[in-house]
Amino acid sequence: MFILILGGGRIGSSLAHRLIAAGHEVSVIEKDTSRCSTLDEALGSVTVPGDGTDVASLSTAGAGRADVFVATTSKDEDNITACQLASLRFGTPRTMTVVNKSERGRLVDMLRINTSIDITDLAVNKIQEFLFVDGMVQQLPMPGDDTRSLLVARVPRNSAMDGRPVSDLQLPNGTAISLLVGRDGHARVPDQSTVIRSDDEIVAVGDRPTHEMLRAALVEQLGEKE
Amino acid sequence: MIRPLQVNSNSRYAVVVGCGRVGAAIARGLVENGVPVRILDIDPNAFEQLPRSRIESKRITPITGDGTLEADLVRAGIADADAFVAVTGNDNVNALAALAASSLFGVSSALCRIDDTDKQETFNSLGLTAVSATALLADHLIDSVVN
Repeated sequence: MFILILGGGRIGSSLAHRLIAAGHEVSVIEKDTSRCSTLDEALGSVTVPGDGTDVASLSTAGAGRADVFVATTSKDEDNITACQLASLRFGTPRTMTVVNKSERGRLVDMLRINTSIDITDLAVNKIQEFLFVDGMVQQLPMPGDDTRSLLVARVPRNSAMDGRPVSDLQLPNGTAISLLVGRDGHARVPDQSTVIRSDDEIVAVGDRPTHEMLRAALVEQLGEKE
Repeated sequence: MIRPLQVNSNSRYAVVVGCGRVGAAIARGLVENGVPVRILDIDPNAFEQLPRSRIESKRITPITGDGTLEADLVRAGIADADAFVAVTGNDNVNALAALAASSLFGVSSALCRIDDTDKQETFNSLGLTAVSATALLADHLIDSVVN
């Protein structure tokens, strides 16, 4: 695949390294010429110096034949403009952007951008992974699928569900527990009669409309006994 | 072709994003034509170039805030505005502010200053009215030379 990246900062350059290591063709549009030379020294000529929010630089960088356009700068206005140009002017089939200010998430979702990544949200989720504590439901992305995510919860000690069967859990329609990992580390696919124990880990798959409901249901019902 | 701002002396108010020379001139002009203005800028010092008397009479309301953020646009009363103009010195900021006004608040033909004429078509196709100051100036000068 040919991936065109806007911005050769920390995110853009790490992404370029990984994509090249995976055998893909990459171009990075970057304003700062010293960043360009650092990247070119490390990766061969991959950079196109210039403002990636103008038509000429995008054209030089090959926006017209890019399979994916990824905007990674720290300026949301530049990322968003570049994605609009890539999509509307150059017909790039897939556009992605980093969102620096979470407040802009709602707007970005309404625009012609296929995927947006809220970096604050991402960092907080990652911190939460390491802060994995009772009563907290962790959400992990499904690789390559931004409409679904994995929810993982640990059943707390004194959970109201301790010793009760899966059928006692009231989950939103269309959702189910996919896997139950016992405290011995043994994973099994539960049926309605499988008994839930404290310290079990529960794995469920949620899609966008339901995962918040599923998360709330798990937090509430797995909670400690009154 | 630029569609005229749909404002008249009965208009409630216009929201202007960016209080540079252009934004301040637009604010003065709108007020002289009977249209109250709420003007946003991230730098409160920018408001010093607005006519003090118009601020005191509340015909111009300066608001320190970022015109690309939903909450600041709400603070400026975007939901009840009759016109929207984004004229900071940065094309991409203007486009983002106008996209926010149109997508989030249903403002039709939000005006934004896009000096890079190559980008105009793209933003016009998104329902904005992109205007290039340099192109306008060029048109005007050509007109005065030719006629």
